[in-house]
Amino acid sequence: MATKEVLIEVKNLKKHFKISKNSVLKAVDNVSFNIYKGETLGLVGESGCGKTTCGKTVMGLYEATEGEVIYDGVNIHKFNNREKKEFAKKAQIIFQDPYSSLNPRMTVGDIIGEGIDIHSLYKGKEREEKIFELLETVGLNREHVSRFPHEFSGGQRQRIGIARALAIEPDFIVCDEPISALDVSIQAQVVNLLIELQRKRGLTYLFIAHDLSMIKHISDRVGVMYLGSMVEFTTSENLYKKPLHPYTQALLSAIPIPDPKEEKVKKRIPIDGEIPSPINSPPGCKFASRCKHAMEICTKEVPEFIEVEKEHFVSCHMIRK
Amino acid sequence: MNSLESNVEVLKNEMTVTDDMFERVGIKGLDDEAINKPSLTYWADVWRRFKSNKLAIVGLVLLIFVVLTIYIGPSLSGKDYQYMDSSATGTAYAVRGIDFYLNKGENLAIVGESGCGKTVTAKAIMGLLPKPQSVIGEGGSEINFKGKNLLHLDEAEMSKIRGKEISMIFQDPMTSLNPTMKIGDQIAESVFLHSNMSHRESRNIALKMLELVRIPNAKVRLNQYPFEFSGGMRQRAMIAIALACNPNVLIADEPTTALDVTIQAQIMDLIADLQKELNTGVILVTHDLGVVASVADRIQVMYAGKIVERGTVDEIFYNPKHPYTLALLNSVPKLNSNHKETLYSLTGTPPDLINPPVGCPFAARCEHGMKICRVKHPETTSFSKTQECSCWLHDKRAELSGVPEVLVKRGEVCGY
Repeated sequence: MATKEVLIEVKNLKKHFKISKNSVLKAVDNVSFNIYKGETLGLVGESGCGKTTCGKTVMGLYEATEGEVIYDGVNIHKFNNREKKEFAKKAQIIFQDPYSSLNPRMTVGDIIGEGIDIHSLYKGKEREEKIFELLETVGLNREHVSRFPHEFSGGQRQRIGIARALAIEPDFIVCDEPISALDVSIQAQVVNLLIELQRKRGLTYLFIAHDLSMIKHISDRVGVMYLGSMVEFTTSENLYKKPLHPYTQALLSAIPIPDPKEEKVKKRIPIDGEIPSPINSPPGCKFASRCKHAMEICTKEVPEFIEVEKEHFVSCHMIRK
Repeated sequence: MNSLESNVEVLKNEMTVTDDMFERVGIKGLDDEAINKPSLTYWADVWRRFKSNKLAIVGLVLLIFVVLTIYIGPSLSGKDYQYMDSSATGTAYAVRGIDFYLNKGENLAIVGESGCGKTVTAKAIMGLLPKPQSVIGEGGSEINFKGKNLLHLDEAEMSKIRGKEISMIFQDPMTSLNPTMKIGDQIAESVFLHSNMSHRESRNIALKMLELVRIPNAKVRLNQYPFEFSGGMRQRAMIAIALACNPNVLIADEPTTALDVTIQAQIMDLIADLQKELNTGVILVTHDLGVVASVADRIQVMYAGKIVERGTVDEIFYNPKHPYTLALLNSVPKLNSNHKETLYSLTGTPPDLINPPVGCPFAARCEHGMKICRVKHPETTSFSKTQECSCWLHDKRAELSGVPEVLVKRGEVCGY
């Protein structure tokens, strides 16, 4: 592999929400990773594990409680308003729900053109041409420009969302579960489109999803999150071949395989119970309460996030170098 | 082979099918048509709105033709079931003549994309479709359950069956529980209504049910409200409600769609275990083929209100005969597939059921489409006792070049 240029560096990122005087929700707690230029970084985890909050904090939609997000050498959380606007040109987001993320009172043309207007990139005829071009890039037609979101199906709406994100030619796109609201056959269409766009434009994606098989398909490297912390981080090949953290192992074994024979012989590693509340979580490893291998130390000390082998980070007391 | 020949016989008699109709029509150029489909041209839109206004004034007439035969004893069966649903934009033919059966203690999966009529089928069996707006079955529709045609029962009779003998788990556990009632009361309610038990006795059953669906600390949970439960727990509570009266048939409408994989695995295991324990017949409605692989005995693939293929799990997964089934199987990324290779994807979207297509509903998205596919609905070809498929590719005269081998292999038993 050629030398990889780091686009975004996330250092000890924390995002805590204060709920009341004494309770704090630690949505993202001490997460560090970096994203290389032109790669797709996947984030997986159960709902409520802080994937989305992490994505939004990384692109500056939330203020970080602590820690830094360094984009191209600059900390994005130190930006003033003008710089923030400049940064928005480089980083965009595609939202999970194609039904609620498009303004129902705006035409498709205006939705896509909004970013172009805000950053005054193109005007008049040029703007119109740009919008047509974007629509065609995502597989829609010119005639769709004057239609409203309700006239489109879920897959088409998600394409509009993608066109909107592409409108100001960003380098980095956060895809927040862009396919989870879509049908299987439409999911494949949207994922193919995202991969194709990445090849053509050299985009960098932070791809958030709970569908592990899709994450494996699209990502170069994957981070597994549990209750606000990153428990394992490695290349997608590695993660699926030799997952080290007990949570990753259980998560992988829970994926239903569309193959009855394999499904019969497969051993599922059960995890009992459900993800505990992130409010005032106990000290120690956050997975300890559901972990089969939990030891005494697990409930006392937070395991370090160590590099076990090249490009393979795990945070678990069981795994020592 | 016999059935295939007899199919051809029928065609010959009808004269409308000629050999040149089996010429391949490429999918190229149809893409645009398919993408444009939901939104017609401007004038067609105006016409549609005009029509719908008239309809609205006259009063919405909803038509359904359902012929679903369900019978239990040995089984529950459905027969030629159609459903039309009319809205301001016209009449939607949501289920267009399907028939199937469910054996006692069996798990039948209905698979298909959103809008293909899965949920409508499920709700029709339960008698939950809104009455004046929807019409089930003109004439011969039947849903036979234990020898009774459910479509002929009145509301009072139906409510004796609903919840007691046939019950349903809904898709969204967040919205389908009553937020103002304690979980225990919601479970006890159906027991109380369907038996002669006292309130106290039915509460005891509710407690047992909560323990059965493995909710920890059931005694405390009994007195809690739905908002105090997490998504997975609510779905468990729903299952407890559905199974409280020990029904013969359980209809699970996308029971795990709203849940995480880990919880999904727990819930599916639970349903499978309870099914064995209580010998309940389960109709599992889902769009996730992975979920189906582990629990279903038989699978029916639905597309645009029709069953396009059915068979046992192994037949559907290893020996699919319909291009749509194959497409569904291929568009799921495999864990061992190559990284970032282009996924197989269907072009376009499912057809509009307000104006359902003549001929095969899948024709517009099918790579192997022929002229005939757009003109006439294919006959059903059967491949084994359990596997049937409606597709013109299985006609003798079909153009088979470039069609994946698995689709056209005949006669042999799959995989094994």
